[in-house]
Amino acid sequence: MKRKLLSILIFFVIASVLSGCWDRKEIETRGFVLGIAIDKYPPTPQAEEKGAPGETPPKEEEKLEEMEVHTGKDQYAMTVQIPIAKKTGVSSTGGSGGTSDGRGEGANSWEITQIGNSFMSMNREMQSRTDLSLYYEHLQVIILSDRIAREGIENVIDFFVRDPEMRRVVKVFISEGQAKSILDVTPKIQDYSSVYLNKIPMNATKNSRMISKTDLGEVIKSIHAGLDFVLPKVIATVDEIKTSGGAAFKNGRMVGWVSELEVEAIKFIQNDYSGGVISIPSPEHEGGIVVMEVTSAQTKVKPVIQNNELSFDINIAVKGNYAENINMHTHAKLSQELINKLEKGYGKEIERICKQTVSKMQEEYGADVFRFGQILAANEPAYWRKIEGKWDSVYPIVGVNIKADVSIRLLGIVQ
Amino acid sequence: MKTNTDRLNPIQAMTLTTTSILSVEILRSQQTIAQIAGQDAWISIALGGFLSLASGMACYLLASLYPDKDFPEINLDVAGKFIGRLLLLAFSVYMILYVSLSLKIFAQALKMFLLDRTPIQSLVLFMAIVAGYAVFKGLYTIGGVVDIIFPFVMITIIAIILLSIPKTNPIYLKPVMFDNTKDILKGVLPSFQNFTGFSFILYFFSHSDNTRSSIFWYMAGILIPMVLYISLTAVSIGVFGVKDLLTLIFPTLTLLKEIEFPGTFLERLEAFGAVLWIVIVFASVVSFYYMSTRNLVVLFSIKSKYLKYVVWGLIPVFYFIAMYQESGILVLEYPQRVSPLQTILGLLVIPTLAITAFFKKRKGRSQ
Repeated sequence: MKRKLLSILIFFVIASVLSGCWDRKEIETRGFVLGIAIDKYPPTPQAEEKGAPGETPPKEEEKLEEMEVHTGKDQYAMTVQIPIAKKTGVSSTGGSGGTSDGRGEGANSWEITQIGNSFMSMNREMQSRTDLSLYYEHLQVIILSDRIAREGIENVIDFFVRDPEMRRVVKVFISEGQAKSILDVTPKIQDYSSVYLNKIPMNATKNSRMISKTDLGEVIKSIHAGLDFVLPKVIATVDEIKTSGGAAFKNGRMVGWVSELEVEAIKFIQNDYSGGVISIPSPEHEGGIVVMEVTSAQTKVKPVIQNNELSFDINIAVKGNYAENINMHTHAKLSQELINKLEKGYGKEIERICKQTVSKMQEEYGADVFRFGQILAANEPAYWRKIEGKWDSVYPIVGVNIKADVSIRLLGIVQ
Repeated sequence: MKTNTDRLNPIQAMTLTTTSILSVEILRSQQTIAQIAGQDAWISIALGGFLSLASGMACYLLASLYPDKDFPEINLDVAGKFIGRLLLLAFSVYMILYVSLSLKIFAQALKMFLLDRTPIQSLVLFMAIVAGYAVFKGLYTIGGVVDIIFPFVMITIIAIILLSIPKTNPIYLKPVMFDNTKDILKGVLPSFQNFTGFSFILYFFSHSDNTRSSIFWYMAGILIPMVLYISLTAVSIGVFGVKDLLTLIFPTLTLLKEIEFPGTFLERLEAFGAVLWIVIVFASVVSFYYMSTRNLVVLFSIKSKYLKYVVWGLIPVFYFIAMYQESGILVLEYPQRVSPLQTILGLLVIPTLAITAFFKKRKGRSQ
């Protein structure tokens, strides 16, 4: 009898303890943060907006967004985007945001801005303004304003790397100007700008002017290893987002913008090129333009040490298709002769943009975004030991020989 | 630990050895070794693995010389009552510490990545109780549980490694062995520590039906985790690079966070991985728990009807050792502090015992 009672008691204890309620959290009480934008404060992101009629004036909003801090003073404005679960299912795609910031009655998401000086405390302070518990496991993008980036990305990134809720595949973007405005966009075919922005770099196989490696993990890896890197630049209007070109970073600080063509060249040299378009003037027809679709590009970077003099040999092997001609006014068949000329021409063009980009990075930015240092360290470790300490002064003057070898395969379906 | 007539089959030598070697170390061994040997950590692990194969041979020899006794009994037989007991005491201390530290590090990782509001005390306690129950049921049950666990463990770890390969950048592994030989060698003994579970054979050999193929299954049991550890380390270095790897506390779990799986369905792949490493830790905790129990039983000549007191009595011991250090940083340093004991036992004591036993037996036969 005693035994029976005891086993019943044990059963109840185990049942109540092991039912997994300890960390339970209902899904509707979670606020899934989709995107984070980080701006420099002051001014508040709203102060730069005009403030639509019928909306809370920026001054009053600011009162809500400020917080008391233990130490230091408010430096950052963090904006998080959370979906409005109740409206999501009802509203049609695209929403119907009609006010100046695109956030009207039909908005699908809510952007909360908080001002403070540490992201953990801002995150917790926001809990005083929402009945949801903010949850970062599904975070898609982090957008940093260029002002933040120029001060040093490492200053702000620790929370996002340290917190176990964060994933390292979150994509990082640099906005020209205010970062919050990117989150404010309601894309035409997606409910949330963060999700939209997260997916855009997947098109990098079609467009070579976008940077595809933009993970938070990639960023923190580079910072820890002391490597320079490029992050994608993002710009926006009220209902559109564009990401192309990039921002070059040296020692974790942004040193300048990188144009679209320069991104193309960087991707060629980093052997990261996975598809794009290159056009040159036609060698035979005046005013004509010939376009090649690049299908694959293989790059080998080899450090060469001759008489204790360092240089890099870069060989780019490009395969592509004849994609289009413009203004050619010809109905003649394409001749192998012309193709040969074009192959040379494309090779020269690739060499040109690469050379131009390398010298800009070397002379203007001094940022080793091509990671020549890493390649040298891996292949010529003995030499690297000698110059490791003064790489910053070696890099800008190191010689780079670029050779591009293009071969055109297909012509499309017309001759 | 009921005595039963059921016996283990030779293939279970592989599953039992593999799962007892794959321990909580799988969460962070890359980091520990990379700290010493840099980008060549995988070479250290390979060398440590070969060392454990050699030591494993000695274990097998020792076990096969006494096919009806398990290690504590063999120990008393070979080394004599007094020295044997002293050695047994050392083994017991090591294994109890090992179980406790595994429980603590496991709970710490679990709390960090999954159950952030569950008290660490209850995580440790429940894991110990569940492991204790398996130990209480005996080796045959442990063998059965491990048979179920084994394929899942293999699939998960191999999946983690394969899915990480697209993210791997081989340049992080270069230069290979450049002016680094000294550090690689320094990393060998700490790597050897990862394989400490191979001695489990000494405890289950007498309970299994042994054929001539047993040794191959046993060697496979050491080789599988060896290959997994080497590739996991190489992949981790390839994905993170040494400098970033050194900043991570549980690189394997971060690796899961780094994997990008096409499609949103498996957006959080780490959830699956996280569930399965609990099982990995469980299996190794169970085997060391079992070994500790056997050690204590023989050490204090406890009668078999009091066995259950030993099994359940160990739980508070594990609990208090695990809870002793609260600091997360210091706890992670403890395994390295315990490791010299393991090195001495595994590389010195067991081979010496095996050789002594070998000659003793031969002498006995020739007389």
